[in-house]
Amino acid sequence: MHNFITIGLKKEWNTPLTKAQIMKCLDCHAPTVAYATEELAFEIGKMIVTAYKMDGTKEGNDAKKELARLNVGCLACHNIKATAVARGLHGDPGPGMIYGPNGEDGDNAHPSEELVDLSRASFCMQCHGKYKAADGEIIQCNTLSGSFQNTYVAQGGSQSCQDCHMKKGHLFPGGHDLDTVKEGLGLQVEIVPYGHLPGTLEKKVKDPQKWIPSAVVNVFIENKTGHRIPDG
Amino acid sequence: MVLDVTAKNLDEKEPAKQLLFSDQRIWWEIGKDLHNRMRYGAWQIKEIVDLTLQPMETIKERFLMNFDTDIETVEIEVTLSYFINGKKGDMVHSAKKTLAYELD
Repeated sequence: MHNFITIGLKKEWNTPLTKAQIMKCLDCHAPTVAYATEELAFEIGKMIVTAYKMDGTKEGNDAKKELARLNVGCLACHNIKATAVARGLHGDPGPGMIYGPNGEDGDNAHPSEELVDLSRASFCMQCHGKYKAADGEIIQCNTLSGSFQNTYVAQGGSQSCQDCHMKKGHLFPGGHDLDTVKEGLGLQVEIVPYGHLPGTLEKKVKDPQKWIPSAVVNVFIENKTGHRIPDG
Repeated sequence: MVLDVTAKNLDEKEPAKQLLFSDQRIWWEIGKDLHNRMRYGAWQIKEIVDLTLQPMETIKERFLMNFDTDIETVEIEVTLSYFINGKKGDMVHSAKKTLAYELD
């Protein structure tokens, strides 16, 4: 994001830092900023630059600490993005409402509403795929949803993102979790030794009269996931 | 994602001289801008060259190795690593086998 602001906006596009521009990153990486004023969004953009440039200093650490409060938290999925896949049907998310796939009330800590959308792949695809900003700009942090829809589903795949990536609940294990990566990739190796016929190789050997110690290694790698590997 | 295949001469004492065979395959995604130039910035990438392993696909890679005629014991190792970014990679799976050749 630092590079987007200091290289993308400033040098390549010659465009000022505005809320609309920074939301091209933050709509997924810090969606609460959607509710910030233009001025506050600008300040957040400056903080991102400070956190990166001044990393290790008090100023940089302070900026980091403030920015950490904007991380993707409960509200990002359970309110801000909850109704977006079917905005026409559901409308804007209700203030303070927590949407969940089964409508459990969270011990009366907050009002809740059942919304099956949160258990659908299309919900995750809001951010885990090609992103189209409000002005039409295409941002491509990752392209995962493309291979999910056009290869996995097209070949008959029926699992959703949540089926695999919520096995450990809200830890959302993926590429950062070695167990999950191991589960998604299969490796089979066949090693076949043999003696190659003397005098039949271009490669020079010490004794051309002798059988040449040789081996064939066959490796089979299986992608058991519902998307291309690697991707994000 | 990186596949490494190596063969080592176990009778050789010096580690630097043990390597008899080494090969690698890489699966990844190249992001490119509208001028077909490779890019890393998400705002720059508009299309991709897809060199990844597709879902539901099993890919087969074959490696043929011919050693010298005085090689008796070879250790073949296959490792599959996953890189979450360019700097951090973890070994996901591996296989190792020692082959003994009878010299005539």
